[in-house]
Amino acid sequence: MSENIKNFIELTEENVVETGENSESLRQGFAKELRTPYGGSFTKKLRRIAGAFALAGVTAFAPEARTPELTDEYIEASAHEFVEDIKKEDKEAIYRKILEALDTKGGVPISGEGPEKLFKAFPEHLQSEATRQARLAEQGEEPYFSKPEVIFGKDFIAKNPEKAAEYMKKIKDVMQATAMIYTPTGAGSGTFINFEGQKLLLTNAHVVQMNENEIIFTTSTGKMAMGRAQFLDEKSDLALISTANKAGEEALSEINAMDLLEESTPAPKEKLVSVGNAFSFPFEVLISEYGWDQFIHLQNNNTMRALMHTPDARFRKLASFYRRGFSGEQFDKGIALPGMSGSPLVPLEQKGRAKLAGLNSLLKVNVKGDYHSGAVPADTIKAFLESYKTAMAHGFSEKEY
Amino acid sequence: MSDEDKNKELEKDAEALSLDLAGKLEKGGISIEQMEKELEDFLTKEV
Repeated sequence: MSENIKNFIELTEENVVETGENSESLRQGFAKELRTPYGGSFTKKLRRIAGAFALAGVTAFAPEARTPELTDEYIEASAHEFVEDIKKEDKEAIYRKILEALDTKGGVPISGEGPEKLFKAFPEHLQSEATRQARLAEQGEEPYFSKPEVIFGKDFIAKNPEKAAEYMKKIKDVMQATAMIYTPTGAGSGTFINFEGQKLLLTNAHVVQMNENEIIFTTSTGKMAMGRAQFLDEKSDLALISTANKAGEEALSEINAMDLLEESTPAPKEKLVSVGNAFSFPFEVLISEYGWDQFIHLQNNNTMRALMHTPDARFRKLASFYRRGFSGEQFDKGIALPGMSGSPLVPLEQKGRAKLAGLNSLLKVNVKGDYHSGAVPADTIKAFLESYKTAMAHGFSEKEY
Repeated sequence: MSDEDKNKELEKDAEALSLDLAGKLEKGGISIEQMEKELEDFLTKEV
């Protein structure tokens, strides 16, 4: 057995199985899984597996990397059954079990008839996210985020241990203030910000506007709660999610929200960090470099300033596996990153606590439906929050925005 | 070659690669790095 295979097995031993016998069984299960098309297609199957590999980075199969276990392939291989084959009734039973686990391990289940209704509306999102949360809670671990070795590479850490520790501290700060957002039609990210003594959950308007009353968010502490769009502005592509319920308040009490940066334009080539639901891998870390400011003409005849930034090599590699059409050139032009909408964009090297420079977004720029990625800058966010404040002061109900 | 034919070719190649990798993995005859390389080659090649 080669060293790499050994590492591969160690990785799974640490997180999925307990004995050597089970490791062998998992390896056989993974091989069996490779023989099975995904969604009727081997191409899709290979792409998903490669995506999981890529997500673990250039140091892909270091024992510490845990991401692949979160993919369907690993879950299926370890369970020796296929997610698609699980009967609906069984799925509901699994979901209830997950809720129980969340409850007993400190999670907040959604009360009343909510779970059943929501499960029927979007079972896959809930199942994968809730399974992940429950598994991590059982292991007594904090939710997944990329290990330093994966994000920065072992060489960088060996040469710059203090800097790497400083970066990781900043990344944890950002993660604390990040939420994963799920709606019946998709997934995105959210950012907890401080505004005049309140903690508010900010995201992009396009993440929630199709499902204003059917939003679930999860925090880095493993809490899950329902929310609804409270105040929304299409022009700036910003929205606030109401967290005014027991589960939401509990979730908020555990996290540290971020302040906005006063200076919202990063320095040229400044290193930035974002944490979001990248390609539906929750709490994934994106390291990028600030590129330029761009005035984008939106479809509704508005012009908006956006902060354009370029993902690092690891993230590009992940994206290229995830979506074959993505290329380095497209990233240089700022092509959007699915699932990262609403995630925080934070300067990595600034001293002190993490502060928000912008909110990653997805901007439709013309009637043909072309998109650009870019972040809504902090000054636009500030103006949006002022409008929110004015609207609330004038007694607008939440439905009248 | 039409797009449909290209897709069929791609799917055939993908199946062959998947089976090949599965066989090698079962026998312990492939490292994960090699496996990743083969996947990367496949996914980035032009049809």
